Amino acid sequence: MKKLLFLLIVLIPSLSVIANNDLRGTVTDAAGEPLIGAAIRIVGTEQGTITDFDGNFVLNSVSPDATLEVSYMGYLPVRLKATDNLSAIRLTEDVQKLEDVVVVGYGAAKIKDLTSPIETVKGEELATTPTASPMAALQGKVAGINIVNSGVPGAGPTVSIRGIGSFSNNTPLYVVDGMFYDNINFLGNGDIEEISIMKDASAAAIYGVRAANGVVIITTKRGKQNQRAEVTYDGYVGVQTASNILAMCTSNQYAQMVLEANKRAYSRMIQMSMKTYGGTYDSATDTYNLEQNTNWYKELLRPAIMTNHSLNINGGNDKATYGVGISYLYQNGIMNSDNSFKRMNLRGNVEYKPFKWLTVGFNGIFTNSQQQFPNNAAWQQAYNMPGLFPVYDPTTAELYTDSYASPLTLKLTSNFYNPVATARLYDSRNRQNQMMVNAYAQFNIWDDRFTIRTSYNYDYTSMLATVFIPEYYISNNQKNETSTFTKSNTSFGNWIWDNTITYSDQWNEHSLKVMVGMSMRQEQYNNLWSVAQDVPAGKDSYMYINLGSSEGRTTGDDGSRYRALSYFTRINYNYDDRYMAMFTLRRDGSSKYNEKWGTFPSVGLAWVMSNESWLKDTEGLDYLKIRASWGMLGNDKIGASYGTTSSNITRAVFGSNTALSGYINSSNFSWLSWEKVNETNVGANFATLKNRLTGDIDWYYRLTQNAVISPTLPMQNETVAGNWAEILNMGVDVNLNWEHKINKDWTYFIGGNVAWLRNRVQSLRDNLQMVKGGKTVQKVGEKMNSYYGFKVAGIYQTDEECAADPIAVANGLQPGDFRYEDVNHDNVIDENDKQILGSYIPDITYGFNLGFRYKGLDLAVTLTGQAGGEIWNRKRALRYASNTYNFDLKQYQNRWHGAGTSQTDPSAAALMRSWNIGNSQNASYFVESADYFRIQNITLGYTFTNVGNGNYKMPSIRLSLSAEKPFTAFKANSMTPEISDPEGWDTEVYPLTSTWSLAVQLKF
Amino acid sequence: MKKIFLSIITACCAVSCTFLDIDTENRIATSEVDYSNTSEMYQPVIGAYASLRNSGMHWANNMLWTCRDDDMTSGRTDDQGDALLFSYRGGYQRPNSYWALNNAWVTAYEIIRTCNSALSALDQYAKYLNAGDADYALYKSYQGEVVTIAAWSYYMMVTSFGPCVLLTDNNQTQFVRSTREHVCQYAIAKLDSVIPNMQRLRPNQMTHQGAFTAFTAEALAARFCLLTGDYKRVEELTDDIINNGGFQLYNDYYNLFKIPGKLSNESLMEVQCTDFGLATGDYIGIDQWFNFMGATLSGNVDGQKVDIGGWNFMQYNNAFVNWAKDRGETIRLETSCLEAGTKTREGFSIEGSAVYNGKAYLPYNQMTTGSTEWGRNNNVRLLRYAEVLLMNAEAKVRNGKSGDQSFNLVRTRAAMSPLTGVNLEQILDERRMELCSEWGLRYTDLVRTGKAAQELNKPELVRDFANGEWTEQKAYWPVPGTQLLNLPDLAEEPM
Repeated sequence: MKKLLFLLIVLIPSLSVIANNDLRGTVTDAAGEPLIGAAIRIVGTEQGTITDFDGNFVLNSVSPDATLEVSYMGYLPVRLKATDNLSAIRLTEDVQKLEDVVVVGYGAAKIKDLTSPIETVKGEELATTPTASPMAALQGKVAGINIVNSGVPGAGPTVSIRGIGSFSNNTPLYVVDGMFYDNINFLGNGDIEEISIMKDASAAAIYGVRAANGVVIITTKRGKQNQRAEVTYDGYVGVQTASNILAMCTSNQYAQMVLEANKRAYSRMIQMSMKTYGGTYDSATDTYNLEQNTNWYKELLRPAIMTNHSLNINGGNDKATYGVGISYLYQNGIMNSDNSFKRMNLRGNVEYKPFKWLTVGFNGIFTNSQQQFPNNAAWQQAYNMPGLFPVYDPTTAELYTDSYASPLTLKLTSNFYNPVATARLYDSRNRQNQMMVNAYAQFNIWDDRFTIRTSYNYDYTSMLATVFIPEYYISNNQKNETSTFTKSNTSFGNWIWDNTITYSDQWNEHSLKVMVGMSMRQEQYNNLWSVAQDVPAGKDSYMYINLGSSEGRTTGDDGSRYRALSYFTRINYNYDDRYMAMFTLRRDGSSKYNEKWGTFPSVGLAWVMSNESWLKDTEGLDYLKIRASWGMLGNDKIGASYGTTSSNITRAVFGSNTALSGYINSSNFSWLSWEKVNETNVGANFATLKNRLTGDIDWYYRLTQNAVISPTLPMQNETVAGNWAEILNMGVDVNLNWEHKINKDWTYFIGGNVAWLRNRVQSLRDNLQMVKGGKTVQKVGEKMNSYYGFKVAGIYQTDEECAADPIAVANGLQPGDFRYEDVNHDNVIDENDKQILGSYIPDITYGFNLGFRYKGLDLAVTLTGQAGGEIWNRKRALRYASNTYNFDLKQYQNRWHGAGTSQTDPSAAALMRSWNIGNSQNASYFVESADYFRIQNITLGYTFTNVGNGNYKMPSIRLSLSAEKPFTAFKANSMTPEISDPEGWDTEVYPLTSTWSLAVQLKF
Repeated sequence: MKKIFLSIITACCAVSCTFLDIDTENRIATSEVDYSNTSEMYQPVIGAYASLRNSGMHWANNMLWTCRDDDMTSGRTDDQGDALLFSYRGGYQRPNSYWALNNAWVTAYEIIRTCNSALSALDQYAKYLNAGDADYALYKSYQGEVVTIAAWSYYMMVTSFGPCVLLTDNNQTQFVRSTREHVCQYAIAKLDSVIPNMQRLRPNQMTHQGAFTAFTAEALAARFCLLTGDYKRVEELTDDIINNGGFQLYNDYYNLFKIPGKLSNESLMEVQCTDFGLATGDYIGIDQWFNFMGATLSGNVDGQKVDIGGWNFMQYNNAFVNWAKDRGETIRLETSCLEAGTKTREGFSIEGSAVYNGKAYLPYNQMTTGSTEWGRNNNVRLLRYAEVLLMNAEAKVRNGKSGDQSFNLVRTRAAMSPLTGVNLEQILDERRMELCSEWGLRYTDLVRTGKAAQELNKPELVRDFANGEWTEQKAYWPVPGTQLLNLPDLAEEPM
């Protein structure tokens, strides 16, 4: 490989010495530094070349009246006559990046032509960030995108764009090289050329019924025309550790708590631990000193390796471009059991121009991944289990599997589990093979005015999921009498065929682009599964249903197929780079619904005020564009219909051993249709202070109508889903960036983004004010997914205080119990006194980026955070299930233990009384702030350029050290304030990781 | 080139008409019920019986119904401790947020809704019948069975929630509650309209064995009339049952509630279960109804230790046990009260520390071989002839006649000496003993006779869970919070 490159590099300059009317030139930046790989093209032809390491180029046999166009990424292109002086072509940097092209649906547009906020993130910003999924690396980088990460190896983040507007599905549409996806966890960070995020409706509306949650368009890496072959290696090795570990009570503190609560009831348990595992009792102070003090979280955690290697080769000449890449990621899990993620990606694309009017191309991505899942149930069990007994107990080894210590030894029966055994006696994995291919042809006719493009995408994904639970016995509650093996084979076969015709023309100050297109797609899903008992343990090669018992074997088979057909158009008009207008219309047909067709229009307008003659030369204002847009979008990621009108077969008994079959007619049925989103966006982009300060600000009003919600039917437990609700998301996104190039060596930058969001349930069915779901409620005028329960107004401090309060008297309350807010002042605490206590949806999310470059040295810091959301501490709330669960350290330290000791936290005894912890009370004590501030990333790098000697020089080597999420500040009593559960329930949450890594980037 | 492309598009448009018309995968389109096939006419009625079993016999409903009086307690203070707030032990706080309260409301209407849809299904079949047909008579009689099931559910509603919604149509959009008086009148009128069409047989004589008959409907109507104070009607209805029904008290009170007493000649209304004689596999049962009341019993069978365990809910208060002993009760005491520390007549020792409900007990030797589940394969007795006799006695006494005859039938069966010239007090005491733990009848009796305040506020009843007296305002349960939220109409004054 190196040799070949070497040859190429040597040959390119040596070839160009020959002909007479050859053109030679040098391209540099404003400071006179040579630009390597700048493209020189002879206008109107396919002829072109690129500059070498010294910025030099040679073009052969050029006619004297030819016009050259010199372009380089990030610089403003220039046009020159062949007769001009080419020896020092200086390109100036395109600071506002107005000429940059961004991908929009079914085409591309220059940033200067946009009428809507589209955020772009370049692949190189992600390449060395140690995350398994590319979207995870965007945290803190883009205003208005909320990314909630998870520590589970291989897991992608939860992404929502501009709030959440659906009770059913809030996942944005991901379009990878034209193919639709629900996530991009199959891609490596190094596979990505660019990510474009369509935030507003007018940009997304071209994707019609799929666009309601926003659209993220991903372009994979590819070569460019007349690009020198570029070989890039990116790799890192890192160590992950748990970012925060929740402190729990030690055994002695636990003993103090339970004895304080009820000495008579719990002394025996403590004494038993002392007797079995050692310890002393001091009768003078009535305290225990227990030897056994297991920190279950510590037992469940370990540092874990994460590494990634990717190699990419891209290049092109004037007829063909190509790009190939391979990447490998391995992420081990920080849970101290078998859990990890491995992924291998192969990627290749080629584009060829056989004729001036025809371009054909092929693009393929193959991914193979294996995910070994952790058993997250262990996290909650580790929270609940006091440290009174060890992980392993050799004295009872013959009784319990793998010498695990059993909760039975301390007579702990129901609700207690050995968490380490739970984590390890579990084997769940998912092997996934995914193949995406895309072939296209593009016809350019009438001097490129018409572009006709047809493109076919096919994605085939096959997943083999297995779960093996061995036979084990730890206690009456923690056992599996026969081994259980589940195998599930799932496949997705989706295709999309897009056809578009684009007409673009310019005359005088007018420029017009019209695109019309049609698209057909099909999504097919199949699943076949089986469960068998008694499959032998020990080897992967035993993992077959056949090897299990044939009795009690169950199987299932399911599948779905949906089709869609769409027609769409987009018209862009630009007058004199001052006024821009865009109009899109999409008509979508779906086989999923009874009402098959829907129409989704949008319109966008922009005015570049800084190009007006009366503002053009205003001091301090370099650029100002004002935008406004409106659009309608759909969300079809909801079920096709709900319930049945059919009869349910049932039986009743008439006489001994005689059962007759009958039926119950039910009419709980509704046809569903897509949810509709109406969004208005008003915003501005500006550049000022010599282009050093750039920014954009957008206000949006996003109303989801026909949102699917499932209220209970009158006087039933049954629910029926229907398009009944309205949800509002309104907010402001602000991005500000300051970048100052002090001189050739020194650059520094600082930037920030903030997003304010107001999320409200606007209306529910008819006059319904509230719908209660499982975990949270939906109430008109409040945030979605709100917690609902009694608000703690204080703690009863004295017996006199209890005696004076009729509520305390009626309920037999004691000092240390919660005083609940009696909302209707009727001296009874009941359902009418419950109130909204918060929601996981944050009001503000923000990020800051700052750093500098000095010669080869660079430092970048990303900070991020959120405010205004709450989590539900289900870890604590689960205490209703057992009085003898462990306590976290804060519960111990802050507890009420005598008048005046606490106004917020209950006494140890209160933590065992259902008045305070009952499952239906939902006391606000369990609601905790999800606010956090985090150092998201610190990267320190050094780049060596033009390394080497003689004829071969390596363009660059970059070494960097990075700390990903090294520090997070938050108040919640949890491992992480980032909860994957969209309703913010903090239970069984895999801790978030900090990753410390060393990265190398080589460019050949 | 353009032409080719355009023609492709045209072709696409042509196929587009059919492109979206694909069938849903993995589903067979369900065909409509064939109402012209009147041989299937009993099927919706079976659905109503199934709903009575599945929804009506929810264990938590039983817990709330029976824990209200001074004789029984729900027994558990940890989980479901809220149930105590529905009894004197919790000062009749009756929090409207308790899930079991909502469950009682929802399951009652589940039965009523199923009955409504069964009635309309029956009407669909009737369109294919002529008034004189034998099948038409069946149709009318089936209608009666369904109405009887709905009436049972309304009885439970009106005696526990008091005012409640009359759900006369499943598409109803008005949910204002009706007064107790209205609900009773509605139920009586409905029952009256079907009684003449129903079979005048005992349930165990029915083709569909155990199906409800004209006498079941009459007994229910009599229950409602007791609530409204129409004792004349009570006497008429119960006289008809006594004189023409051919019912008999089952002579073995101990086994009346066990397998041998299933569908006896005493049974007017029973929810039937079967395990088809097998300990595993197909079981048409009632979930945890028996199990939740089950005490822990252990005994020896053929040298093997056998444990029968339940959830330990539903316990008799010692005051009741002592009262029964003072009365000289024998067989009824043994059958009803499983006192911890004693042994059952089968030699199983009763563990724990309370007096558990023996009417839910099934001895090991009556259990299906291989099973130790409380009450498995047993039926639930909803309405017994003994209650009819006591209603008859009460009505007669209230109407100025002698109630001795029917009263003493009940007493002598229980091996108690007959009384002469019985008064109301004695009849109520007899009901308290004979019908203890059944359907909250004791509480209903206390409320309808005006004795509740006196009996439920007795100083010897310990309010150990929360304070508060029983008052007339607390006689009935509040509308569940969840229901109020979903249907604000329910807060309105009952009509």
